[in-house]
Amino acid sequence: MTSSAAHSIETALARAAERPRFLAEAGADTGGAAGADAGRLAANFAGIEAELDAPPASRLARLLGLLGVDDRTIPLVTATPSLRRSWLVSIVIAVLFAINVGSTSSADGVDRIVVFLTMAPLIPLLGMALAFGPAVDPTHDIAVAAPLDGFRLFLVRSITVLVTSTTVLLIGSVLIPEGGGYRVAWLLPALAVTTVTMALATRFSARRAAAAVGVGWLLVVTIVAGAADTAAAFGPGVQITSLAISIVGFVTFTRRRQRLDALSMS
Amino acid sequence: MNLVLDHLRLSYGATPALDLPRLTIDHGATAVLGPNGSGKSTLLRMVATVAAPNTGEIHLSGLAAADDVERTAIRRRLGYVTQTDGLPGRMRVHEYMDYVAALKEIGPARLRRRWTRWALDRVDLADHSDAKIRTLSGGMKRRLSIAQALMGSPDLLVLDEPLTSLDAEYRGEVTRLLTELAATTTVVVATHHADELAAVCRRVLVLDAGQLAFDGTPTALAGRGANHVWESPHPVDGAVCRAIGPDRYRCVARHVPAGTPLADPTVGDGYVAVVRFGSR
Repeated sequence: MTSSAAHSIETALARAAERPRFLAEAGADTGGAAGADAGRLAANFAGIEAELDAPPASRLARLLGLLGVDDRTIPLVTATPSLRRSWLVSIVIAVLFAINVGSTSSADGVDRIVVFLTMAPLIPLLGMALAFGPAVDPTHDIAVAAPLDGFRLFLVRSITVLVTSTTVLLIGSVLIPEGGGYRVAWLLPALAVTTVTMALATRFSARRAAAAVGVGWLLVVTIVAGAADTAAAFGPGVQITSLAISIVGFVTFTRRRQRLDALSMS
Repeated sequence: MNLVLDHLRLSYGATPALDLPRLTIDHGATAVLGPNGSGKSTLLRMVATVAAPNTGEIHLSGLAAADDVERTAIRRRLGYVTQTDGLPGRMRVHEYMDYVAALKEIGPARLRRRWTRWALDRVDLADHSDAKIRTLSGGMKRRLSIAQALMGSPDLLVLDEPLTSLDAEYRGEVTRLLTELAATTTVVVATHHADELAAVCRRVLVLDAGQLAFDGTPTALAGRGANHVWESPHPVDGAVCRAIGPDRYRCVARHVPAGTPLADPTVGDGYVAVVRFGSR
C-alpha cells in the first residue's frame, strides 16, 4: 500500500473513530441493535488497523506470492531453517568447490564433471538434514504441538530445499565449460537421494536419514565409477534407475505419512 | 473442558522420569512446581502432545492424545510455550507470528495479521513487530513466546516457565495476563516462581523426582510450611534460607531453633517444606 493511500485511510479512520461510540450510545435507546453494530464496527476497525500497521512482507514472501504460491504455504516456506542466508552461501561455495576441485587434475575436464556430479546430489541432502529436527529448528516443538499436518510441513520444506539447491546447482552446471549433457546428469540422482531421505525420515530423524543416504550414494558412485567411465557412471542406466528410485521413494513417503505425526509422540 | 492425565509413566532406559497417578485438571490455572529434573517439562511436553508416555493416556475433553485424528483436534485447541524460547533469531517478530499462525491453520494472511496484532498487543510487543527476534531482550523474547501461544485463543494453554527472563514489572504483567486467561481457559503452567505465579493458581501440583509430592490449593501448600518457617539475621546451617533484606533471611527447616518466633508461611515456603523434608 502506498503511503498516500495509507494516509487517506488513516484520515478516514480518524473521522470514523467516533462512530462505534455513537452507535453504542444509540444502542442504549434502541434495544441494543445499534450496540451490536458498534461491536462489529469496532472489530472491523481493528482489522483495518492491523492491516495498516502490518510491516511489509519480506521480498521472498512477495516473490512467492507473485509466483502463485498458496497464501497459507508462504510462511511455511519462508520459515524453513535451511533457507537462511548462511545456508545459501554455503551451497554456493560447495558448488564452486565441486566445479574447481577436479579441474587441476585433468586436462580434459572429465574429473571435474565426475566430482561435480558426485557432490551435487549431496547438497539437497545436506539441506534436508538442516531443515528438520530439534537440533536445527528452534521452533520444532511449537510445530509439533500445532495442528498443521506434519506431512505437509515436511513436504513443503523438502521441496523448498530441493528447489533452492537445484537452482544453485543448475547455475553451477552452466559454469562448467565441458561435459555437454552430462552437466545436468545429477538431476535425477539428486531427486532419488532426496526422496529416499524423505521416505527414511518417516522412520528415523532427517539427519540420520540424510547421512545414511549420503554415505550410500558415495558408495554407489565409487563402485560404479570404479568399474566404468563417466558415461557409464552417470549414463542412461543410472538415470532410469534414479527415476525409478525417486518414484518408489516418494510413494513410500506418502504411504507412511502418518508416521511423521506419530514420530512426534515418541 | 477438562484434561485427564491417566497414570502417566515414562522411563529413560531403567531410569524412571515420571510416574503419576490419575489426575483430572479442570478449568482455571494449575501450577506445576518442582526442582530441576523433577519431570515438570516432561509432563508439559506430554500435555502439549510433543512427547508420549511409555504407559498411560492423556485426554482433553474426551479426545485421546494417542489417537492420530483426535491428537490433531487437541492441537487445534492448544497453545504451548516451551521451556527454551524456541524462537528463530533470524526472523522478524511479525514473520514468526505469521509462521505460527500458519502452523495453527489460521488463514488467510489478513486473518493471520489480525491475530498477530491481537496477540502482540496482549504482551505489549506490537511496537516491535518489525524487529528481528535476535535483537529483542530476554524478557521480550519470553513475551513473544507467550504471544505465539495465544494465537487462535486456545482452550488449553501449556506454559513452561513463562516468567523466566522477565523483570519484576513484566512478571507481574504476565501473571495478571495468565490470571485473566485462566478465567476462560485451562492453563497448566510450570514455574519456579511459587510465590508470584503458583500463588494465584487454583491448584498446585508439586513434582519431586518424577513423583507427585503434593496436589492441592496454594493455601494448602502454604500450610505445609506451618511451624517450619522463621526469619533470621543470618543464613542457618541445615535450613533453606533466602535473603529478603539487609541482614534478613527467611529460613525453612524441619526443626525451627528453640525460642524462635515462627513466620507465616508462603506458598514458596510450603513448596520448600514439601520437597526438602516431605512435610505433610
